[in-house]
Amino acid sequence: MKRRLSLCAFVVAAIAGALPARAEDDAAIKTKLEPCFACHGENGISEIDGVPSIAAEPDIFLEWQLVFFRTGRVKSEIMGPLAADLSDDDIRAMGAYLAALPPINTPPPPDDAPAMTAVGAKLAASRNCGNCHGEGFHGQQGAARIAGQREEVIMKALHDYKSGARFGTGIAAMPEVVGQLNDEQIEALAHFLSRQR
Amino acid sequence: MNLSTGGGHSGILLDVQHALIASRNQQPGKGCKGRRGMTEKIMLAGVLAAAVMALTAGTPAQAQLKHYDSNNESFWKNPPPDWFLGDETEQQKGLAPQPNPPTPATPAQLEANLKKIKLLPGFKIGVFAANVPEARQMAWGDKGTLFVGSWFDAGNVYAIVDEGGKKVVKTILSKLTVPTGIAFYNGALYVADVNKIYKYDNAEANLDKMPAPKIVYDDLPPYIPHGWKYLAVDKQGMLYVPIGPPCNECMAPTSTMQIRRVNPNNGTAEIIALGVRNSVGGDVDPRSGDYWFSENARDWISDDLPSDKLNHVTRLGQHFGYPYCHQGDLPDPTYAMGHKCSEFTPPVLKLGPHMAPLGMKFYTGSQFPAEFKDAILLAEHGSWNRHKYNGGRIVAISVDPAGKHVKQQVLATGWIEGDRTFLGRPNDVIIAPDGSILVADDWAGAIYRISYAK
Repeated sequence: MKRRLSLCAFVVAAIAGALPARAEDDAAIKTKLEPCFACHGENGISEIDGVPSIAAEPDIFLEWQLVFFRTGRVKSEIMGPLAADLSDDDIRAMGAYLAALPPINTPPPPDDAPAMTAVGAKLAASRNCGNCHGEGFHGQQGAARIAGQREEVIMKALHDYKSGARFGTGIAAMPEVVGQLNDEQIEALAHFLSRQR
Repeated sequence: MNLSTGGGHSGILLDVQHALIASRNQQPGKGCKGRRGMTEKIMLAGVLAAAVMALTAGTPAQAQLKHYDSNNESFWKNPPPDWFLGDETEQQKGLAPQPNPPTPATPAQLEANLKKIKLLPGFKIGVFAANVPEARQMAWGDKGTLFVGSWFDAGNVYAIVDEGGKKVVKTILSKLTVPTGIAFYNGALYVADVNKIYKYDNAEANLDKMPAPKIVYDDLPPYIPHGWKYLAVDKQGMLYVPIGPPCNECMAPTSTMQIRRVNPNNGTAEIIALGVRNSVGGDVDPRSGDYWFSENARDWISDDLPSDKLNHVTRLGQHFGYPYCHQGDLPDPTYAMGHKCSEFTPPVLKLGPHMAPLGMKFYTGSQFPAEFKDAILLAEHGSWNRHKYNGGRIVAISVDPAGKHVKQQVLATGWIEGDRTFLGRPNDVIIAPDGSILVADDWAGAIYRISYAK
């Protein structure tokens, strides 16, 4: 706990140092982020089914999601209204803050379906997930950190890309990746990715 | 890919056969990290292609380079997410397009950026409108509205109107796929979105609630890669529509690699130009009525080859060389397939490698000095597949109606900082009624105005 606190203090200090913004702007962003952490978890690691972890996602990815929610390009009854009144400055500050939080560092629970993990690993390689999502699937630029994301969140995202309900950056890469996957393959991919760190 | 037709390089073919045998003796297919379900034949073709590239480039074949077979329908319809990386070479490895910033630059950032832009003497640049996310092609309405298309993530069409001296940006259409190309003619706004061209009648009177569109043309391929459009409109209201190949370099579907002239009144079209790669800019010469267009050359050869092009269509259906020949004089290392560059129409001007020349207009205003009359003003979007980015400029190209006496000057430059940092990405130019020009920037999400005064 002490270590976590000191790490948090370090991160906050690093953000404060990195941003030209005044200290009161920082405090303002933290206040604005409080409702986010209520669902997305303390420090942005979610413990609620269907709610994604947002810590350590690339800032460009996070900011695009907020822009998509704000314009309605991605529909969400919860996120739409929450993002509706955010200014561009809010979005940039939130993206920078969340991107600087540490990623999930607890080991995954014991694997109850190692065969599925193996299938998922093969799919991740054959669908070239790492080309955009980076080595170890830790995310880069506009592509999300998917290592360690909640399993059911990844599954829903893949289904939404497949059905066209969700839109991504990267020249429509995701619908094209998922278009050829069946339900079992999506499940295996989500299972594998959620277990990565 | 039928390699037996790849004549003209028998020495290379012989060497490739050795490479092929060597790869068979080791681990067949391992030299090619491609898509799942590739047949061995395709994998070997990949080895061959890599070997040809390696021989051409003079570097050893690298097992980890990406190669895809882009010569089939499944690639065009479901390209791998990194389809533009499909022909990776050792020299260019690791280079990838950068996603646009999620939010447009603030007015303060824009002012700071524009201080770094260098212009020809007498020219000035300022912000015309900020907060235009991913601004692409522009078109003037009859009553002074500036319509602006946008890139993928925004998916909007904007109308910029003057309200008491203040520019107000209205999002008039949204949730389109990639509405980069727009035109305005006879009261109607035309929007090209991949495989459909929409017409919005009486658009300027309905900015707050756009009417339902009519689809005036949909005989277009559905492919997203290079499926983004640019629209030029001539005096008769015909639309010039470029259709790019859904790959970097491949034998693409017959419906692509061409520019058509579409009659939006009856949905017919004729082929204006063939053998065209990714063209996202063109204009009708006010002196002759001829169509001129910019064209982006293929990637993954090197930092300095091939050059992008400025082309002039002098005869219907001329072939400009793709995929066989690049920049008028460089046979493709893999796809030349026995063709000689002399078979194709050469460019009027080589614009330089990885400049990404996009939107262009003949200068018909009267504010700029006389030497700019009828000159082509061209926006260079800037590189991604080059270690030190090129472009990020507005250039002015003076040329006579026959394509002779070409002279290029750099009107404005400075949107690329250091090796690979964008301050902005100019992608279209339009002439304003007062003779100044406007420049669209999809990186910073802004429209600039460049004016001249003695």
